[in-house]
Amino acid sequence: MPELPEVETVARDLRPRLVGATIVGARTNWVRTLRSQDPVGFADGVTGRIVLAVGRRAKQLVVELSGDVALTIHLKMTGQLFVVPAELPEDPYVRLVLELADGRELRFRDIRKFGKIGLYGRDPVTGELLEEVGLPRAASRLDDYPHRLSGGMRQRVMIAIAISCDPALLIADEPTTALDVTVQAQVLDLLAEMRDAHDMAMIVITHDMGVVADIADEVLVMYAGQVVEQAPVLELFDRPEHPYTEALLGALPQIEDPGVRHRRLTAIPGRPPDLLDPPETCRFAARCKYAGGDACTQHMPELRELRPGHLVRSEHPASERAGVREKVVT
Amino acid sequence: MDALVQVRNLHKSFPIKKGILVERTVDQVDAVIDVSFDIGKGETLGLVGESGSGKSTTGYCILQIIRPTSGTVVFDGHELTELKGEDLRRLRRRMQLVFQDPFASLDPRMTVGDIVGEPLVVHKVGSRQERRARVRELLDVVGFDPGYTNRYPHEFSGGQRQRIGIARALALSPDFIVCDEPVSALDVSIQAQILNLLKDLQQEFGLTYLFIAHDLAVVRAMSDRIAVMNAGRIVELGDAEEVYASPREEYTQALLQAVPIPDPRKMRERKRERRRLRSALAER
Repeated sequence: MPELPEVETVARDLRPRLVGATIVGARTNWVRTLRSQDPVGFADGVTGRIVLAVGRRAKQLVVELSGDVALTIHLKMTGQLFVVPAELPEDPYVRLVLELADGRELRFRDIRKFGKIGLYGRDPVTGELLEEVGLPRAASRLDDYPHRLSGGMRQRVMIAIAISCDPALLIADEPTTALDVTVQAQVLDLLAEMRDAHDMAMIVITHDMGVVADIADEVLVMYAGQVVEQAPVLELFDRPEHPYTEALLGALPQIEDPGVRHRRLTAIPGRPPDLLDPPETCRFAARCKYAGGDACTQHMPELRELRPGHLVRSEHPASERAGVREKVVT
Repeated sequence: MDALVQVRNLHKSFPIKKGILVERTVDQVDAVIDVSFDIGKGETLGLVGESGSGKSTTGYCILQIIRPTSGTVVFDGHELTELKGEDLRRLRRRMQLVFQDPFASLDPRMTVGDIVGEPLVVHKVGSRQERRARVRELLDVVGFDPGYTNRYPHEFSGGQRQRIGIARALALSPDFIVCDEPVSALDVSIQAQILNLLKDLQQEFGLTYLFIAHDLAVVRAMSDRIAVMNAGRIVELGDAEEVYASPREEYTQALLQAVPIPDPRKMRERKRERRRLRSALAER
């Protein structure tokens, strides 16, 4: 399989105040492809690259995902990182599959060795954990296979596994996509509750702007492997700057939208660029209403700070758009 | 408006069987219970509900892909539940299905052209040349480059594949299409394109849709009327605007309330309200 180009560092400067950031990504395998340019030395002599540095209880959390070494060591050493996938696979082993860069898989039963406790230990702590995440009749569930649990309950088990390692950072990758809306709210509430109770930072990866509005404090919008906009949640929804963010907000069918039946929806034309051969210019230019024969089709725009805390990668952010004509994109 | 599809007292139960050599029925699951509705010509009826509510089973029962346990389905004056063989086949040409998963619903060993043309072959429509021309025309209609007829489905993205699936559904010029979660597997930036395509096709060919989805916002964007299903039954059926603006049933209200909306302030308000309700429940 050809190697995907590097996805830029998204969160070098995530500040300690960060509680939950949400990343809206195009369909990029975010975890596997995150990588930064600068190699750094770890305390234990391993050389790796910083992709995430989060200050909080852990002074610095360093994750290397381009090779398997640092990730494995990291989980072994501290169990600081945990990834919650979209849905727990219906597998009798409650297997968490974390695909490493070299194609090997890290399974839940391995992780059990690294964290404090495992789900299969019959110790009382496990029961307590399941109770904490609100699994009904938790103690009697220890011998149940996942296929006997509903989607929402499975996701609760997944969260229990995740917090069992006492992580400083929880990455939840589309945690509610497979769930019904009524269950979705419960799972999001649970995640927020666990975040506060366990003093974790949390990254929620989602395509649903409603989920973003529900759970995020800080939002990073990603397009084709790059951060195109970053802002606190209220700021982002009040004043979206990047044409992609605007289009994304406009393209979602809204539940509160009378008369939508008889209108066409605002679609984003075209498709994301081929990540194996990304354009050297602004990656959104081909689908952008404002891109013309100017700077953004000549070079790659920098991520720049428009207002304190509000970063955007575009030559045509909404607040600077006076005088730029809309072009018809097909 | 004339009803194209009339469903009356539809019921479907699946037996639960036990035993290895000699199977016996120990119980049954009632997936669809006493469902009745009409779908007018050129209308879209949205069918919403949570997973397991029986909405897909209802769709399949109408098309007779699953035979209902009891009840009647009348399509353009023909009672379908008792039809068999050639008689049913002839009517099936006029009813098609668009599947949820564009990755699983296209045979990976067939070319795009063969997939779209297959219904024509099955129903022995036209000569080989005519079929080829028709395939190109269909692909063009759904916004898929007809130059790619010799490619295989894996070469295309989810949105493009769903276009192939829609072209296949249109091949026999049907009157009625059951869309079973047609956009739930697609990237958000692509969803609106496919929804718009379905709207355009409806306008152009006067299609009648049964639009099945769990996403209430998507259903609202597509439907004239809405049926809300819960545990096999229709709990609310009415004009789409009315159902969304002032839902009568508690279940519908709860369902609508649970949809996250892209407005952080409203979501925070809701979250506080949920927390308050939970602690009130805990104290009791």
